[in-house]
Amino acid sequence: MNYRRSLFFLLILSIAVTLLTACATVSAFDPSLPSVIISKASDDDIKAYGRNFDENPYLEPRTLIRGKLNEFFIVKIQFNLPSESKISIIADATAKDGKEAARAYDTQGFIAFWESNIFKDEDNDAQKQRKYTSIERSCVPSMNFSQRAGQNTLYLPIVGANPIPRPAKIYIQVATSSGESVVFNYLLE
Amino acid sequence: MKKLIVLLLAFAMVGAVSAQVTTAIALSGEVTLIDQAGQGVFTDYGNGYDTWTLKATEKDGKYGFAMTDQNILDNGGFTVRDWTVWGKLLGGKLSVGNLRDATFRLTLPYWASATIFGGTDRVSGQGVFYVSDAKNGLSFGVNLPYSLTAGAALDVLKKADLGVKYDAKGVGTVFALMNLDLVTPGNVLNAGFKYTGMKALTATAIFQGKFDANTYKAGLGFAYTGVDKLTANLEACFTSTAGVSAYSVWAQGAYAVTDLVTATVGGSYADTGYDVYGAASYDLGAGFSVEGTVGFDSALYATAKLYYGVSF
Repeated sequence: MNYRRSLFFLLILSIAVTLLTACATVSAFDPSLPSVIISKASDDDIKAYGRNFDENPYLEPRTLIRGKLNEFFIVKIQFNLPSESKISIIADATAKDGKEAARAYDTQGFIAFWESNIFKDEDNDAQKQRKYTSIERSCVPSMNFSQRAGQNTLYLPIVGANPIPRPAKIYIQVATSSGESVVFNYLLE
Repeated sequence: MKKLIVLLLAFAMVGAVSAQVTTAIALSGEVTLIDQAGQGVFTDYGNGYDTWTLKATEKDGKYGFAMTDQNILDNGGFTVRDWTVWGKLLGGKLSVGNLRDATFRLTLPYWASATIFGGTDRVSGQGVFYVSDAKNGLSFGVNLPYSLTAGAALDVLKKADLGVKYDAKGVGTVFALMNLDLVTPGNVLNAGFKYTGMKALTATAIFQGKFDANTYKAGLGFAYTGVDKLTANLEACFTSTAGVSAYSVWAQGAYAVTDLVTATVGGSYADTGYDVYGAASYDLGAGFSVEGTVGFDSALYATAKLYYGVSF
């Protein structure tokens, strides 16, 4: 009897997963728009994920005495793909001397970054989980991944110690399996 | 106490000069300035803890260490709550220590205080815990809970924790964690699904079955942010403990009036009673906020609270 209840729940869960998977939404492909647009995320883009770093993964961790511990440069990548495509990303942030000034993170790397920088660990850690959900939902899954057809926006966080040494060159290249390649250069001064 | 604070600050400053070490003291709590009876009270931990955390990670993230002291302001002194030494090896992450690991844990999106089941279990206690790197979104974990006293290795296997997680990009994540205990017996299955396939909606279903104790818990949670400045939440839970059932339903809408002011209305209904409330909070900055609440839970109540939550 006990196991039957669990099996019943798992059955309901499986049906829900199947139904919700069918409902997964992405805006339709628009042939009038470029396949890939790369830009620096705006304050409004970032603010959409929460007001403070406790809930917003794209805001730097901050402490009362030491201030901001890191500096983020958030890259916004907008996809508009006619069909499912393989995506490859190259991301560099180099200082004047050619050394790495900051590092680009994918979803797992960014979650690991926050795991090392979350100062509170409550029994009720829903706030932390909300932050991780935001990362899973919006951060690039890896530097090589498959992207579904249609319009979708992902973010690529570039993270350095605060401050990232100036000047720093941010270089992003996004290539699709259709052969298109888009480059974004930004001089951080 | 002063010496402890100085020591902790010293640790914090060590972290400030090393990019590979994160140390932080986090204090949080609340002060009820006045309630409907004209009374006030200081609650130093609020709903959480005061913690000192030390985390050290190799710059490429290949290995690290973490430990946490909980409720550092207690007169009982310094007590390590959990610690972990970990390394990226064998195609995954190997952790050893007095664990408190949420890799295979799932909570409801908000987990309100009125919600009677808000999250599944962590992997916890002394153990050797391996989590494979995700391949095509699939990862698994095994924890061997070696105890501080010598015991039969076979019993360790019989008490292993087995976790699995599948992340379908653009759809959501499925979790399961089986806390085996074939010795007592006391097997516990934790499972859940987090759906993120629709923009602005997070839907979560969680379940916990303690088969040998005839105890079952299930929860559903939704968070919707599709309306500008509005966050809507709904949570519903059901538990059955040795045949005794309980339930709770909670809903809340929070509207960001400005960047600093939030207005909230909500209510809960459970087998133990009900509560409806409205609140307005103001973010004072620097980790401080004030909130005024008026509600009715068989009697009218009102509170004005000051919250603090700082890290340094």
